[in-house]
Amino acid sequence: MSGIMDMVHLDTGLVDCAAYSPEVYVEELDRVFGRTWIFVGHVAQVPRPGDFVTGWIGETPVALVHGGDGAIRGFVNRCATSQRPFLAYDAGHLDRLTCPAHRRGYDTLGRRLGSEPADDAACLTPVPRLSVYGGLVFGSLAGSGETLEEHLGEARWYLDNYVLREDIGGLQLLPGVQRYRMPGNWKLLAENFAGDDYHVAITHASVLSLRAQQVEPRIINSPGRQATDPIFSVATGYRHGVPHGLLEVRVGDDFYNHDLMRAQTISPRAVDWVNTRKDAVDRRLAHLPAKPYSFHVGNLFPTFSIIGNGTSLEAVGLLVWHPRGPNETAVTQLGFVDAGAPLELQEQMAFALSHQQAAAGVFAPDDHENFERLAKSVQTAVARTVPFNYEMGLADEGRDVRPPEWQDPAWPGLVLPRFTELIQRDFYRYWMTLMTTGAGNGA
Amino acid sequence: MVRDPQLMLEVAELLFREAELLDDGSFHEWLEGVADDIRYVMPATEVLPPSKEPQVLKRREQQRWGEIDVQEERLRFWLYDEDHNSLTMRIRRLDTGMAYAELPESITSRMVTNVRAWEEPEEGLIRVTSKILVHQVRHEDHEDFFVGRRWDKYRRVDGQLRLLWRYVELGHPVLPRTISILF
Repeated sequence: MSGIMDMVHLDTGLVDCAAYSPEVYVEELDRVFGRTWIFVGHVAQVPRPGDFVTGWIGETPVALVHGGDGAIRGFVNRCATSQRPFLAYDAGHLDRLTCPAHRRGYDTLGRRLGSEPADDAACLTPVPRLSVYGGLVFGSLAGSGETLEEHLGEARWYLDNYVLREDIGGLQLLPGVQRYRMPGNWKLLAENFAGDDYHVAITHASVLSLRAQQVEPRIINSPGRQATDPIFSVATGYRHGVPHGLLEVRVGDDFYNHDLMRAQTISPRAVDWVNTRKDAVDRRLAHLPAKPYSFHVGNLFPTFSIIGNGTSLEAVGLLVWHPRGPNETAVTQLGFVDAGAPLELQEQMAFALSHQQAAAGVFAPDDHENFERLAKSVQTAVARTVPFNYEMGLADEGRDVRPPEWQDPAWPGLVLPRFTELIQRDFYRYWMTLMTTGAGNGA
Repeated sequence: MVRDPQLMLEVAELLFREAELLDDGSFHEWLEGVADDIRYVMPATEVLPPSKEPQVLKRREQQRWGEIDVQEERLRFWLYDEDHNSLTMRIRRLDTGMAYAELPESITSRMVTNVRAWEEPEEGLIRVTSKILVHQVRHEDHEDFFVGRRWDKYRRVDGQLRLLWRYVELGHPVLPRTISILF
C-alpha cells in the first residue's frame, strides 16, 4: 500500500494518525490478519472428539473442531453453499455439523455428508494452516510462509519458562470466556500490552493506592516500593523478525519472596507450589548466570496478549484483540491457573485475574477510558497534524542493558530499561513491512 | 398469584431504593444494606447449545442460587466474584479520585422490573428474582445499555432485609464495554 512509508518514522519515533484510518484498516485485514499467525484458542477448549469452539481470525469467523479421528482442525465458519456460519454457538459438542440454512451436513473432519446433489461435493473451507504450541492453537489464513515456531521466535523461551511451565503440569483452563468491546484501533491495544509499562503507575494509580492501603490483600501481588530488584522490558524479533514485547521482566528474589509471604497466608501447600514453580525455573535454567523470576505482561505480534503470570498468585490471562473497524476492537479473554497448584491457591489466582486485568476488573476499565477518549479524537483534523509520539529511549536504540556478568550465556531477547518505547517502534517497523511488501490474503 | 403481597411491596421498595442509591453514587450507603457474608457473582455469558437434560437444568438452578456444593465447580473466570471485602475495595477505589474509568462518574439509570419475591421459611431467607436494565453514559455520546437477570437472597436482620446472595446473568455474549458499575 502506498503512503505507509510516510506514516511510520522509525528515526524519530513518530506514527502518523493515518495509520489508524479506515483506508489502512481495510488493507490490514489482508496484509496483517491474512498473513500472520493469530491465536484462535486452547486445546483444552475442545478436549473430546466432536467438541468445537468458534472465534475469529481478523474479521473472518473460524471454528476449531476436534475431529472424530482425534485431530483438531480449523475451519472457516462458513457453509460451502449458504455462506452462513454453520456453527451458531460459542462452543459445544456435535457429532455432525449441520448448516441451519439448508441442513447441509458435514462430519467433524469437514467432509460433506449425504451429498445432494451428487455433483456438489464442496467441503468446509479449512483454515489453511493451524499449528499448536504448548496447547495454544494459532491459525493462519496464508497457505505458506513462516512456521508458527519461526513466528514466535525467541518469545518461545518466555512462553516455555514463564507461561506454559509444562514440566510442572502446565495450565488448566478456567471455565468462563470473557468477551468485551474496547474502543480504539487494534494496534493501539496490542502495542500497549507489548511495550507500555509507563502508563501503569498513572492510569492505574487507584489500584496502586489501594495496594498501599492494604484494602484487599488478594490483589496485592507485588512487593511494590519495597522491591529494589531490577525490572526490565524485553523485545524479541527486534529489527529482523516478528516483534514481540514482554514487560515487567523481574530479575532477583523480591517477587519470589513476596509470593512466599503471601502464600504463607493461604496454606502450606500454596507455599510448596510457589517453591515448585521457582525450583522448576532454576532447574531448567541452571546454566544461566542470571535469569528472570517471571515476566508479567506481553504481546506477541499482532494481537495475542498475555497477563498475570508475573506471580504465583495470579491466573494467566490470554487475550486476543480482534479488529472490528478502524476504531473498535473486540476482546476475547481466557483465564488459566496452574494445573498443579492446590485448589485454595487456584482460587486466589482466579480471584486476582478477575479483579485486575479482566472485563470487570479494576484495571481494564481504566484502560478502556483512555482508549475511548483517544478513539474519539484520533480522526480529527488536528489529530492528523499531530502524530503519535514513541520517542522514549530513542537515544539508546538497540542497546541491551544487561551487565557483562549476565551475558555468558545470556537469556534470549533484547533486554531494555523498563520504560522505553523501543518495542512500540519495532511493532510499527514490522507492521510497515507487512503493509508494504508482498500480497495480502483476505481476512 | 402473588404469594405474599406485603413482601412483594417491601422487596420492590428495597430494589427501587437500591437502584436509587447506585444511580446517585451513594455506594457506601448501598454497602450498608449488604450482609457481611455476601456473595455477589456474575458469570461471563456464553451461547451454548441448549440442554433439556434435567440434571443440567438442575445444576443451572443451583448455580443461580449459590447452591453448588462442589468447591471445584466454583472455580471460574468470573466477571464479578465478590465478597464484602472485595466490594469494599471496589467502592474505596472510586474514593481515591484516580479511578479514571469512573472519572467523571458515569450517569446511570437502573430500571428494575419483573420482580418476584417469596419467603423460604425453613432457611429463614427471602428469595427474589428480577430483571435489570442499566443505561450508562460515560461522557458526551458514549453510552451503552446492559440488560440482565438477577437471583437474590436476603436475610432479615433487625427487621431490615440484607443482601446475602446475588447472581447476575447479563444478556451480552460480547459485553458492550468493560464493566465499571454495579448491578
